[in-house]
Amino acid sequence: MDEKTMERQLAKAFLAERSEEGFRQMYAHFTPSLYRIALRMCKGHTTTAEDVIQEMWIRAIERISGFSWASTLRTWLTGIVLNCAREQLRDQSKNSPFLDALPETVSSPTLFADELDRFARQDLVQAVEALPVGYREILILHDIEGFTHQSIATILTITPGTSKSQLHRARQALRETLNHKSPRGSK
Amino acid sequence: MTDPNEDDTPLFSLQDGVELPDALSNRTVQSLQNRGLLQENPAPSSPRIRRFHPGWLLAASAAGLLIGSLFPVVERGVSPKAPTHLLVLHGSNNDRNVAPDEIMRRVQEYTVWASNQGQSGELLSGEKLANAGKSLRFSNDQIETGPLGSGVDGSQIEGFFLLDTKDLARAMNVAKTCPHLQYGGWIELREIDRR
Repeated sequence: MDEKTMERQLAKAFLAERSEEGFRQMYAHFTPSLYRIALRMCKGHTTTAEDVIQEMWIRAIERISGFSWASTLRTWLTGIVLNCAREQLRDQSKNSPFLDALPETVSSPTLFADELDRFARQDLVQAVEALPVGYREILILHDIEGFTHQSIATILTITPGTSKSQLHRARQALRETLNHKSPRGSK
Repeated sequence: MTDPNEDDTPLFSLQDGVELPDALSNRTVQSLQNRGLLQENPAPSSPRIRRFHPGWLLAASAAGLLIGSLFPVVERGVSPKAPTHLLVLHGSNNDRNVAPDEIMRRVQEYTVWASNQGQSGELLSGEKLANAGKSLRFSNDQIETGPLGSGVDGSQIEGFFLLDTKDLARAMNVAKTCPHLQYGGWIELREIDRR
């Protein structure tokens, strides 16, 4: 069964009765990746990420009967989780804007991947979580969760071209952040 | 600007190591119920689904990759309808190296399948069988016990589903859609003798 078919069947099974069991099936299918996104967006704060997931499901279940299937269900849910995370962050976090002003430079994506291999996992996590919200979103969606630029465009209500340019800037910002950390084995 | 590389996901490894808190699902369900967004009890006309994991995923389960669920089955005794056919699920014993993500995907596939069959009214009941058990035979004027029997290919019975279908052809069509066939297991379809 392909992912699209499974999504439709999960939604159909839930909407047939709005049962707890039907919801738990959807929850089990979608929440692991949504929670990862929430956790990274909330800089590793598990309690806040859990609140985001809870609020996301409330909004999703309120609206799911009107979902038009113009995108996948996962894409739609990801958009909701990002909205909920932004709202939480507005209340709880003051993001440093200094990285937004970084100059844009041209770099090879392959080189970028090679560069990342030099750093410990925890350093990478901290560097991603240190990024401004907009950059963090695009890196989480594309480089961690594997969304395409087309899907990201749908989630963030931007064009695919903007998604690509934002990713480029986000990677550059990440690179600058990592420059302040020591690569593995260099100590 | 050129495409930074659509397929390049250099931070993909950061997906690992994030565990979903166990209590979050119950909290979320409670929130939804408090807002009237979920039915607290299933409708009596629909069989209640519960789930379990089959023997071929025991290794993954022991490693904490699954939290007690794979096959969804219908609670025993809920439906008063008499079963017409039995699906006997034989295992393949070759799924020990399945990746955790793939395990979870299969969990969902079994869940969706059984849920759909339950809603159509054709799936009445099902159970996963544990590995513990004995075989018994009457021999030499006494009952002898031995290990569990196995099929001609060495596989053991891992579970069963009871169906209520109008005829064998329909039962066959239901069995053909069972995810068990996609992952190395095989199914024995038997008609229940009502004569």
